[in-house]
Amino acid sequence: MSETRDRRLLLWSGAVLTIVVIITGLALVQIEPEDETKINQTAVTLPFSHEVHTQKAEIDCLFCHSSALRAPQATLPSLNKCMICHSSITVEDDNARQNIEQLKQAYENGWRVQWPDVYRQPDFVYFSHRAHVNNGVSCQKCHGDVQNMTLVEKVVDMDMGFCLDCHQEQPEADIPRLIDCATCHK
Amino acid sequence: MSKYEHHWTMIVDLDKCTGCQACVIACQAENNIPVVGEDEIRKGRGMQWLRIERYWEGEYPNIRARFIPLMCQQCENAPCEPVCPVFATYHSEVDGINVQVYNRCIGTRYCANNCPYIARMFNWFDPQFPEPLNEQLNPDVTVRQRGIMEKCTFCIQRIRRARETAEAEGRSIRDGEVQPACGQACPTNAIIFGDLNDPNSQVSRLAANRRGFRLLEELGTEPAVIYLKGGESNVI
Repeated sequence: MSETRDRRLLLWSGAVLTIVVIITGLALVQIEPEDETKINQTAVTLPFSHEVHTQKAEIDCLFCHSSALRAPQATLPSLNKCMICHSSITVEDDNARQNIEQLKQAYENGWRVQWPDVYRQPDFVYFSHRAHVNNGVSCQKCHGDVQNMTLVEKVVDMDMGFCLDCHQEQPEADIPRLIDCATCHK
Repeated sequence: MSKYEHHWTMIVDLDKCTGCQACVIACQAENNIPVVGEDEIRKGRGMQWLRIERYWEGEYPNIRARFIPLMCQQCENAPCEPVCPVFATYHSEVDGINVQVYNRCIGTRYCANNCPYIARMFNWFDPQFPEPLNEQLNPDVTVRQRGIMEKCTFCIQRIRRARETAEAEGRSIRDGEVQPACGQACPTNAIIFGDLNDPNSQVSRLAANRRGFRLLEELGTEPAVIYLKGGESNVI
């Protein structure tokens, strides 16, 4: 007699507990705050021509990609750098003027510019611009004739074979480092 | 003078080690080592490139704790190297250290079984770095996937960077310029790192210390980590 009552009591309390858990769970889901760490920034794309900037304006690659000399990454310029020139430069061409207006708008509103990745090394590769640029490798050797491109195109597939094609011409003394996987693979 | 361009060596002064584990945490952060959790550690699948081995000496109340920070010993005659069927682990002729090539590794785990120091860790699962931990991953180190063997690299990414800086400035790497994460974090400077080829480096001087010994020396592995024996000062 008392055993059945005990069991019934246990069943009831179990059911009540389950309901309470479900209700609190639902309440928690509803009051979960929004992720505040995400910065609300408008990402825009801007028209840009390498040809105009390197040929007409005669700007050196390193002026915009300034970290190539001293860091592994060549880096992309910030809009501040664009505005060094574009805050004062005027152009005749209507189309170009419109493009520059877009740049100014992005700059004034603090928008983030999404430059497309043309070349991207995989995660396990260590490549340093500094090591190459300082040793006299020109930008064009790997990136092609960027100065004649409006939009940068991928001219070579930058795989290991492409690296080794050049590196095999290195002097004998550098061979040990060349065959050391850890030089380029991280 | 060894056959290597640099003979990177680590000195661990056991008299200075307090077993605080700062090196362990620094290593974990620097090298993108995932935290696997209690259950996995219980199964012997813990992931730590550097761990502190603790020993009790004596009987209560005259008891004393001894600590040995243990990482890959970067053996000159590494038992892990000849057993790899795909040459995923080899001896660097430039740095004189034992390198693991993650891309080549096929996960046979022969190397770990042959390592007398239990220094090699295997990724039994894909590593998890839940937000916001993914933001602190070191971009200079690959995140290893499931089925890959890994181990202490002597922070080879820091050696690489120091070499590049030195080269750009047209000089050789200075003594103390390369510091692995563990040595940098050590509050008592128990871990000293440097080039044994340079007779004036700090490690060269410390390596000649009479307290110096290598772990499991009798196996003939010739480790590149030299421990300095702890004396009476290590009473806790």
